[in-house]
Amino acid sequence: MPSSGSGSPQVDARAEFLENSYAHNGTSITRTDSPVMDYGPQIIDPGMPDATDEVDYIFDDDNPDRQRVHNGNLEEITPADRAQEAFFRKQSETVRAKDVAEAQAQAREQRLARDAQAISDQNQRELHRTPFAPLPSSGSALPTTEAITNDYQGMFSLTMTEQERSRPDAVAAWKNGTLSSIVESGAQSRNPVTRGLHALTYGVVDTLAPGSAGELVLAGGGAVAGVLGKVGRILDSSSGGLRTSATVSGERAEAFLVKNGIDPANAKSYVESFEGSITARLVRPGEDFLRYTDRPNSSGYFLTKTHFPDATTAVDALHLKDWGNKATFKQVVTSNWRTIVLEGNVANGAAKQTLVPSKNNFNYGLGQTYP
Amino acid sequence: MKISKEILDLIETLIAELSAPVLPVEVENGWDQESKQAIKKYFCEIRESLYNDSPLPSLDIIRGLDHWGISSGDLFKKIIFATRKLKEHK
Repeated sequence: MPSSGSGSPQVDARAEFLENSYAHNGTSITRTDSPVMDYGPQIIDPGMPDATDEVDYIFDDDNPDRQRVHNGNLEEITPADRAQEAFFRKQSETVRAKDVAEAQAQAREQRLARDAQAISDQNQRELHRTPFAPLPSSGSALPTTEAITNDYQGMFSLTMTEQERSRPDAVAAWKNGTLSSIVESGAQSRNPVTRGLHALTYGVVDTLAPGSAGELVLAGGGAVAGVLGKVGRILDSSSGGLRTSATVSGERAEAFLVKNGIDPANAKSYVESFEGSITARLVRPGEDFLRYTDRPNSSGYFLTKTHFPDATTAVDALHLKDWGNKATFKQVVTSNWRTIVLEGNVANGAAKQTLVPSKNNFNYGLGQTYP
Repeated sequence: MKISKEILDLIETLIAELSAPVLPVEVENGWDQESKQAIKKYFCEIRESLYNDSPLPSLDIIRGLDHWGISSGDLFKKIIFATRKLKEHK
């Protein structure tokens, strides 16, 4: 009888081994030592050969004049041999059934546990989809629908030029693209709760319409905002299908910084600190970054995700040498609010940097020496 | 590279300010003696490059200052303004 197949190589192998150990082949039985440790007391005739005897039992129910080979000698099979054969047959079948049942039960348990873990993992992934980090377990305030709407407005501003924003067809295309992204993302979810959250997010985006200032506003006004506000906290616990990143031009990145309160006289210099393309990315509360500095209790706009093995490497990779900073301390910086950040390569350096538009949206930990 | 007197004056003014003791308002903006000395050294190198007509060092000082914890204040603005002028002439 083939194994039922548990999915676990070890358990399947054991079940198969047990079945083979007690396998019948026509009318003959080959006795093998059972790998099972203890099956309770066994009644064995003292005259029986034990497992150390080299005995092949050759039975043929159609031929009463059977013979056997015992220790190399051909012997006649006696009624005692018949009893012995019946005993072994019965015992082996009982033991086999018990062992197979045990192995299959164990396989079932392992399969169920594995499936439960896989579902749990999948749920976690869907609820906290990268690049978002899990929410803090307690403490921080959660953003509302207004914040979510602002996220979309931010991405809208970054990904659409002024000219495009004034064209209804371009706005509609952006919105349709975002809605499609939400539907697609939600459809891929196995978690019904996540699917529901995607549907709710779809509802939020669907109410957005271009305002007079070229920004997205909630078309339904206060009534819609009120209803959506009730689901705002739930929405925040999932990625909600947001388009979370987009490549932006230097000009757009500069405008984004100015809009977020960076002095226009400095915005260009911040953008020029990047080399190559710049990505605008939505960061959720609880995401960790690093900051290298000589002042352990200071703060700054430039962060990174890179762990450098030592200060010398950090100074070179972040291109700090010209300004005397030895990057003696490493701070952990954690976002405490939904924020759009700019990311890209350090100009003249060898690492990726994250430029945050507002230090207020992040908690700066006390710097520690490293490694 | 021909550099205007305006830029040279800017650099000289900056070096003078960076040479002065740290003011309380500068401390509020993240400055201390060590960072002022480090940035002064940088602008002295720039001045030397300008007079010698040799290549300027990197002008991405905004990140350098940021890692010192300096991202606001009058002195910060003057430095960024000066480096912007240098970039325009580069």
